[in-house]
Amino acid sequence: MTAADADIGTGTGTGSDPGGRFDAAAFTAVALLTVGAVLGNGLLFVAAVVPGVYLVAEAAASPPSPGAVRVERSIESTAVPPGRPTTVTLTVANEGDRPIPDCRLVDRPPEGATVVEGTARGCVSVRPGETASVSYAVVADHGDHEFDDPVARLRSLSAAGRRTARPSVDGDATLSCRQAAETPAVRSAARRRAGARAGDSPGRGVEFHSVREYRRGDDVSRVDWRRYAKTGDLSTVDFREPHAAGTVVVVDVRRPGRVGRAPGRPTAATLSVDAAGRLFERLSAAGDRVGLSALGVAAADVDVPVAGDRADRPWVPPGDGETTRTRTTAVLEAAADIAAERPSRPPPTVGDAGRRAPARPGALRARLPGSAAVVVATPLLDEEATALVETLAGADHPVLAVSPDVTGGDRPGGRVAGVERRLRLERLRARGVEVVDWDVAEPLSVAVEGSA
Amino acid sequence: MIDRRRRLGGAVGAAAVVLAAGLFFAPGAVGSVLPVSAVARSTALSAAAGRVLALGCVGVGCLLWIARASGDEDPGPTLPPLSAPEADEPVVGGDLDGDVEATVEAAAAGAGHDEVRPELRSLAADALVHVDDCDRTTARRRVEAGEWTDDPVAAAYLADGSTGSLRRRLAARLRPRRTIRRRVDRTVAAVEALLDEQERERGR
Amino acid sequence: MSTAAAADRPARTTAAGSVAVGVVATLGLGAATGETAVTAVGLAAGLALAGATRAATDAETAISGVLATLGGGLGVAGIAAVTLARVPWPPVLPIPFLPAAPFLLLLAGGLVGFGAAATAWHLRPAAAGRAAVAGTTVAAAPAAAGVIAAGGPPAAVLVAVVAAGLVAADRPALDGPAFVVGAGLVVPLAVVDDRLATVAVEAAADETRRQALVDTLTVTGPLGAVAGVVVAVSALAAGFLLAVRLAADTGLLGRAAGLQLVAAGTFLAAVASGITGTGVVVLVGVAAALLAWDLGEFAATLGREVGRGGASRRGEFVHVGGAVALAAVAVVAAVAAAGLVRTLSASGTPATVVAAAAAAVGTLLLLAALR
Repeated sequence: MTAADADIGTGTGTGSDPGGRFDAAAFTAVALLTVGAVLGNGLLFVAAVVPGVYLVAEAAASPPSPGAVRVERSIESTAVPPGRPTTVTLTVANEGDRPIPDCRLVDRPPEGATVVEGTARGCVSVRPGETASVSYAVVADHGDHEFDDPVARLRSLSAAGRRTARPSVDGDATLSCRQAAETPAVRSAARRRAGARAGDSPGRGVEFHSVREYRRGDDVSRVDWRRYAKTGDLSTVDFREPHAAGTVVVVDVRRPGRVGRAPGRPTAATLSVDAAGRLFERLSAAGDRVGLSALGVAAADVDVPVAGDRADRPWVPPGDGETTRTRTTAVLEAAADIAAERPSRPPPTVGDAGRRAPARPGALRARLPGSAAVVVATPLLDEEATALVETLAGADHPVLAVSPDVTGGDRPGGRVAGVERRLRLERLRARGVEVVDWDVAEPLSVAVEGSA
Repeated sequence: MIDRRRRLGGAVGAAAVVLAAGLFFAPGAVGSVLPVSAVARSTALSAAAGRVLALGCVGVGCLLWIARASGDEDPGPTLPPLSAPEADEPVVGGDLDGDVEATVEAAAAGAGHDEVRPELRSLAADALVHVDDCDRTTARRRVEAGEWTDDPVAAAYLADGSTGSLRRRLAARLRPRRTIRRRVDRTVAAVEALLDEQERERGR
Repeated sequence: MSTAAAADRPARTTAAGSVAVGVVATLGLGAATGETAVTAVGLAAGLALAGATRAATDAETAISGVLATLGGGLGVAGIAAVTLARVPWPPVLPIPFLPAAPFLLLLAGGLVGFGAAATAWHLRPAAAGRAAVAGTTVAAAPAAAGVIAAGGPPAAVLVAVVAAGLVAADRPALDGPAFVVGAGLVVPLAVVDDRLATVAVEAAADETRRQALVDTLTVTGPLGAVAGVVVAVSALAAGFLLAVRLAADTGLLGRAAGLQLVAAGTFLAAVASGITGTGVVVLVGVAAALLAWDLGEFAATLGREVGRGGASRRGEFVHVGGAVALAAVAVVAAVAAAGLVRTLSASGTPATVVAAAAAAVGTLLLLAALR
């Protein structure tokens, strides 16, 4: 007996509880006896034996003891990036000597984890010495999350009477979610030839190769294979070589992007911060000089002092020193906090969304070094973001847009937002801008070629 | 208190069953003690109406007793509710969903105002501008003329005026909610199909 | 939202099993009693009334009204068929005492049909009230036409005053589309009413009965008589639907109302077949009703505790196996008990009468005391 059993132990001492499940049998018996006696119908009278057997079965039933149940929880990966589903499996072992015909198991995932596939519940039937399992997938918010112990409710074969307990649980109980929880892929020079695509650069002066199919050597261990089996493709951002004038990562956490695909899912802005963080890491690791700007964040909101642009947004000039790293981390943290704040009312999908959350490309351009490359991480959920990317591309900066996709689903609103976003993507592509359309259920793989 | 009443009822019931068994198996022995034939002749048992009344009252009384006594007495912890109240978080396109719901409810109440149609018109025109590379005025005109998709439902929904056929208008009167949802679904699907088709052609 | 929240839905496999057991058992009991057709008509009427409830949930009042009228019509047709098989046409007062079993089977079929469809469509019993209103609305125009046809100008004035009063007293409760359907019904009724009256008069069994029918038709007029039938149809449908609504409001029907109705209907069919004395089938029928209840209650509880998204297939199968075994044991025990009782007493001696009464009262008290 564990402590968890002890706190409910007093209550279960009485054996099975009536529960009222076979009240219908009692009703039936009374009705048959009454009708049979009133009409003088012997057969109906005797038919009361049928519900009588049910009542006997109810009285005789005793639900299995919760002490026989041992539960183990395993979480597929206990550290995940935002938006990535991970599978939680509860395994029930019957350690008693009676079969448990009906065990209903209710896991209690933390508030910060939203169940996205299946439910955190199941009804299993376990013979002595056997195990059964219940699994579901969750997506976590930023931070560490502690699971509560599951509740188990046991019933006998006739399901008359029940016992409910909180069995102790072994295994994983914590799920943590961090920006860039995965170390970016570093591809060795030996693998580089596999990706050689020199000279087929699209657009004028663009030095990115963006979406391509998954290749051997990408960060295989982090690939969500189940998702891959469904959709058959993965997103990979592929940089050919560091840019001479430095690269500026722009992350867009303005209000229109602070929506998720469904309640409890990470917002598009959170995913943009995640993408920006990973792009920054990867480019710095490849020896590039990298800067950062965050749309929708006030320079004053950042914990360390940083410069601001004309629109008072944080500006970290391209660099490769420790200062750049410190400032970037602080700006990304501030952006992550703001990205997770959901506005009380959703922004309009059509209409004057732009005027409410201006992107102010002029202010950014004033800070950008002459021919720096720009990587914009934006969900592209409004016209302003599109206009910003177009303005930068028009000013002869090589521009890559990485856009997490939270649109779609079954709701008409999600689908319409999806169509609008697709049109924006097409418009940018028609302007020669490289756009990575990142399906957020897949890992975003960032790779840089031509680096050691 | 309840326990004593319960025990008394049980005792009386058991005695009656024993009496019945005695009458079945040894009617003579019981008959010498109790005036059986006199009881059988009493109106409560001999007249049909009396029998109905007497036994019916006992039966109904028992039913009420059972209904009152039944209840759940699980001593363990309660299960958490199945669906946690869904947070009122904004989701992508949530406002349009709200418009669809408002329009559906308006249609169910017999009102005709439609907040979704103008938004979908504008969306279809945008898609047409992109796919056919025409200007916005032309696209707008084609949408209003219903000449932008093969889907008759989507075309008629976005078309100008009440050009819908009698059958379609009748359907809208008979099944208001379903008709609005279907129209919105079909129209969004038609716009998606426009883009998909172009993507396929370009892929070729 | 148009249907009950997904969270409340009974578990799929067991709920389907419960409905299947109920439908098969009810039809089987009907067949064993020799009333297959009546039971099937009741089943169809129940389905139509459930369809009316579903349409009412979706604010499709015209469709709801038509389906309610169809369900009521099937019910009236069933009642008429059962009655006319035993009483010559047209029935005149006093009508002799008719056997209860066919009527009970009609009602049992209706309950099972309604319950089965309500389970499949996740209907809330509260919506049955709206379907009843829609059905009544359809009958409004024919009833008004019938009153006018029977009563002439004074009746027309009366109807006009009532209608004006309804409109003046705010928006009438009568719903537009459903009322239009009823008004559309008046036209064909007015065309065929004379012919129907002629057929009815010619079908009379004897001269006195024919005269009685002709007298009635003289008072009501043919359109009035036909409208009377429409009103009876709508009243039957509304009565059934309102009874369901009332049962739900008083807490008699819980969250899995459909499954409860299926079990109750099956039990009613078993009692009906027991009244006619069909033998051991009754015991199987009672066991089937309890099996349907067992599975239905299990499905509802499972749906509430685990929900449809959870993995529960294996647990459900295990329980279905156990429930079928329990029902089988109950049947065997009851058959054995029936055999025992038959050998003990077949006579109606005072001793057995008193013994039966004592056994009934004793068992009832014991049952109630043990709960």
